[in-house]
Amino acid sequence: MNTRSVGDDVLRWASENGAGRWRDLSEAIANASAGRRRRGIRSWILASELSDLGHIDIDWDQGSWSVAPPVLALSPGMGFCAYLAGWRNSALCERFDQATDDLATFPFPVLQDDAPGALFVKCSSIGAIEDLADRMGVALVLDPCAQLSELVSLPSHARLPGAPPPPGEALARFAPATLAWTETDEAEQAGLYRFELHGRRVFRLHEDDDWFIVDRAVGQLRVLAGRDDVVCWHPPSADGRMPRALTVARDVSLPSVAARAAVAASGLLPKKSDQRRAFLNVSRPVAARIADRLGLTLSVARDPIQMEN
Amino acid sequence: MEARDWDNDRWARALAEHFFSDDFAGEPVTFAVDPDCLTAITGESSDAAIENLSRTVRTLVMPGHRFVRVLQLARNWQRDGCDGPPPSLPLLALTVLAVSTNEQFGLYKPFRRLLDSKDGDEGMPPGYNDAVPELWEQLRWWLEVHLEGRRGLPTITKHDVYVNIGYSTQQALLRTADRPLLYRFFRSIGLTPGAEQIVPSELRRALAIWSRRRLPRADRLYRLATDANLQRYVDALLQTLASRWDGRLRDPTTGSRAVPLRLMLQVRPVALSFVARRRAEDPGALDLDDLTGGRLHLTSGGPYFEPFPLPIAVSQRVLRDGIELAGPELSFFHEPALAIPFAYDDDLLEWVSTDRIAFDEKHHLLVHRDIRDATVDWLAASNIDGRLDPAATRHLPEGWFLIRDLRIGPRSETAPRDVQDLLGSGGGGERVRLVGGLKVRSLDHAYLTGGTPNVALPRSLEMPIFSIEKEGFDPIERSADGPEFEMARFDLAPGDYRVVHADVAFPFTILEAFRDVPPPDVGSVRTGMEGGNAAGLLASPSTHVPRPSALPALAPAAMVVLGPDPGDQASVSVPLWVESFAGGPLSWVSLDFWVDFEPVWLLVRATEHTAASYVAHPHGAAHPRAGNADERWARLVVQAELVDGALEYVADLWREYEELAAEILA
Repeated sequence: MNTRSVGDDVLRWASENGAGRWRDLSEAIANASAGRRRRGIRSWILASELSDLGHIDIDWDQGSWSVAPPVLALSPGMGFCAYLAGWRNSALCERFDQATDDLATFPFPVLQDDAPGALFVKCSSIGAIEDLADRMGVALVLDPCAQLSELVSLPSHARLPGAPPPPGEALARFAPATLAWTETDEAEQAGLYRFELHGRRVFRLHEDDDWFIVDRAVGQLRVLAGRDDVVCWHPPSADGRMPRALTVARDVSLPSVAARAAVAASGLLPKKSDQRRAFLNVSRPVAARIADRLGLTLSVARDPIQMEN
Repeated sequence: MEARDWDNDRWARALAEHFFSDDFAGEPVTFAVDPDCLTAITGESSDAAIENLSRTVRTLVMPGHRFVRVLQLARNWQRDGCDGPPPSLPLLALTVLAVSTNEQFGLYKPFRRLLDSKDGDEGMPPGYNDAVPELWEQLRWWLEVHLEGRRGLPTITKHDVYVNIGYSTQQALLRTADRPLLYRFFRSIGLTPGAEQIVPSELRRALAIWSRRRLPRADRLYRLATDANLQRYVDALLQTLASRWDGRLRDPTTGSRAVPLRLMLQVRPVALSFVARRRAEDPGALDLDDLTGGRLHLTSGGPYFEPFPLPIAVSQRVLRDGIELAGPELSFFHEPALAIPFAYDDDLLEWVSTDRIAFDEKHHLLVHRDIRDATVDWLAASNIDGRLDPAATRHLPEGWFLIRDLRIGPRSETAPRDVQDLLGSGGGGERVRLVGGLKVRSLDHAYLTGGTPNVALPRSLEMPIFSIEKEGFDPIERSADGPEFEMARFDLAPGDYRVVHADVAFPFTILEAFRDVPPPDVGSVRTGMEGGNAAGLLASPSTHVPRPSALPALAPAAMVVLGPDPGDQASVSVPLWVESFAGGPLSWVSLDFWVDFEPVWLLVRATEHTAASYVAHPHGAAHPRAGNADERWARLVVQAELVDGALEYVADLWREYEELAAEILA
């Protein structure tokens, strides 16, 4: 009980309620944060983490969400350590505890700050994991990272909705060279711009003298197209103490499916690593596929990642 | 037919049309007969109309108080298929009229006088108890069961003690014209239709405060809430009305559907104005009276009516007292409040007043002088985004101030009450209620462990001492300070509880879990891109993934797996990094192997050489297959040595691999 996080509480709440409007979820996060005396949790960040972990799906445009089907997921290179994703209330956790209460399996949780903790179970074979999924009544998903990476794509130019030029107030332009936002008074130059539209931060892409409505991730990836310094693959360490990883420049957003694919490789949220986010255990072929589908060039590091504590 | 010629049938039809018309479909209705409504029905003077109804009933039941005659008529009417309204309506109306014209809400004495002006008795007329309660129950049945609420939902209930007079007294309390005001009160406290924990005494206490601020307009509601003599009838009536209210509002003057006006806040420069939102089904043109003699003609103008904004000055008086715009088809109103939140309106592209403050979304907040300092202090103390904009003050009505860019993250227990009432979906107003917590929506008053709700306290609450009770345990008793009693600080275990204040108890349940299986709407929202979509980790379309096999974890360092075809090679390693997350060492007996070839040899690099171990099925036919001249595969084979003690068939197989490797390298 005491090891539960705000994210665990919200996931239990979402699992009991099934689906709803964004404001319900946002209010549940506010109430859960108050209950655990946690300040400074932004509801959209925690909700995005729940989505990246594959627990819920969010339609940001429609303002709705639903909890995802429960699965036991097994990713390559984890030594038969599977993890739970999707719908997860206390009843399922109890089933998990009962089903793993034997000598053939070893369950272990991994705490993730305010986000829901990850529930892992180490088994000795795929048969043992299949049997465990059967006993829990959940589906088994093999290599979700590879499967989700096949869905990654960017909207084509023709599908971007048009928009008027942005007003000049609180305007900032994304500088591809530095990956930083620079305040500006004019929007003549092609590129990605952001501004406050009546209290909300919105993004507009200026391309070929036309303006388009984009979200942050799509806008950034379009102006960074072809770059080889945004995503990088790192090999594992020779002693196995450091996993292979896909790192992404900290200030660049990924589309939801791409972020979920990268998280699914380990079942863990990305770790901070030298101004980058490190998605653990992503294989090189899958990293290359994600990069390619995002219009980026994957660079390959010689050294394993170094994670910050 | 002259007015004096009204008979029982005509009265029954007229009363039914007035009190139970199709206009009230699905709405709680009261049979609140009073002199004003009789005048409205007959067009006669008050005295004449009363005499008209009295004479009609008198003709049927007098002399001798033969109520059984009406009972017989009513039974026949029901037996014959309920053609027309119940014939009992005139008699029942007279009983209610007797109560409503009596200052003390007595029944028998004035009722006897209406039937016989010379009757000086004060007791129950003979035969009353044999007939009248049954007639009330029949009327309830007609409205609720026979008509299925198409002419209104009855509020008729049998009183626990006053089984004869209780029916009439309860119906007399709330006149038709009072109901719209009562609904306005329900809205002000954020009552959620059909999903609310209704505690009648709490409603009554809140109604007393709300109606006092609206005197003399709400004088009957105020009396209803405060007269100790009425309390025994009022609680049941309020409970029925509150539980049956469907959320619709009506104009107190015209009875038409009423909706709130919205305030529009323009921020550059700051300007306030009223706007009237229009729904697709609303009339295209409206004529409205502002109750002070002014008239307004509105026409369709997209999502808002024209003129836009409305030509109504947003003055200190209007914000303080509110405003009513009454029309026969649709009416508008603005309720007084000390805090008015604004959210961004995507249709209007402007900031528009809203009923609630959503968490973690940006709002502007208009606050009255009375709560300005408390609001500013609360923002500062709680480190909540939001700042008082002094430059806006000169553009606002006197005594009002603008707090810009308010963004409330976690639920705050310390906001000024007028702001606290606006937070989230918890409702507001002067009533004790449960707020916050992790509520299970499909259950009544059920919350998850770790998500215990707080109790919101009305300003007027005396002795804010609460106890949390659970059967078999000593109560926890605490005094509350601030606008909420922080029940959430108690980490309550699963069970049924009551939080009790004075004589009011709120039952609630704490659950660890409710569902055994996922709810039906699991996966109803999907995360997608052009290439497909996913519900959680389930991709659609899904792609083929090989089923992994298990290899023995022979060494902690990286190992190489070889298959029967030259080129079948892959490395595997023990993922020791997982141990740093698991919090300790893990037992690595086997490793997952995902490549689409049959693993035959596992090569482990030792100090002196590389050792090859057989990992395929015992006696399997994993012979090497020539054809693919992969030199790397071949080099791995020739550089390795079979582990000592291998079985004979394994040694034979290894020799086959060595021979093929030598051929490739030659």
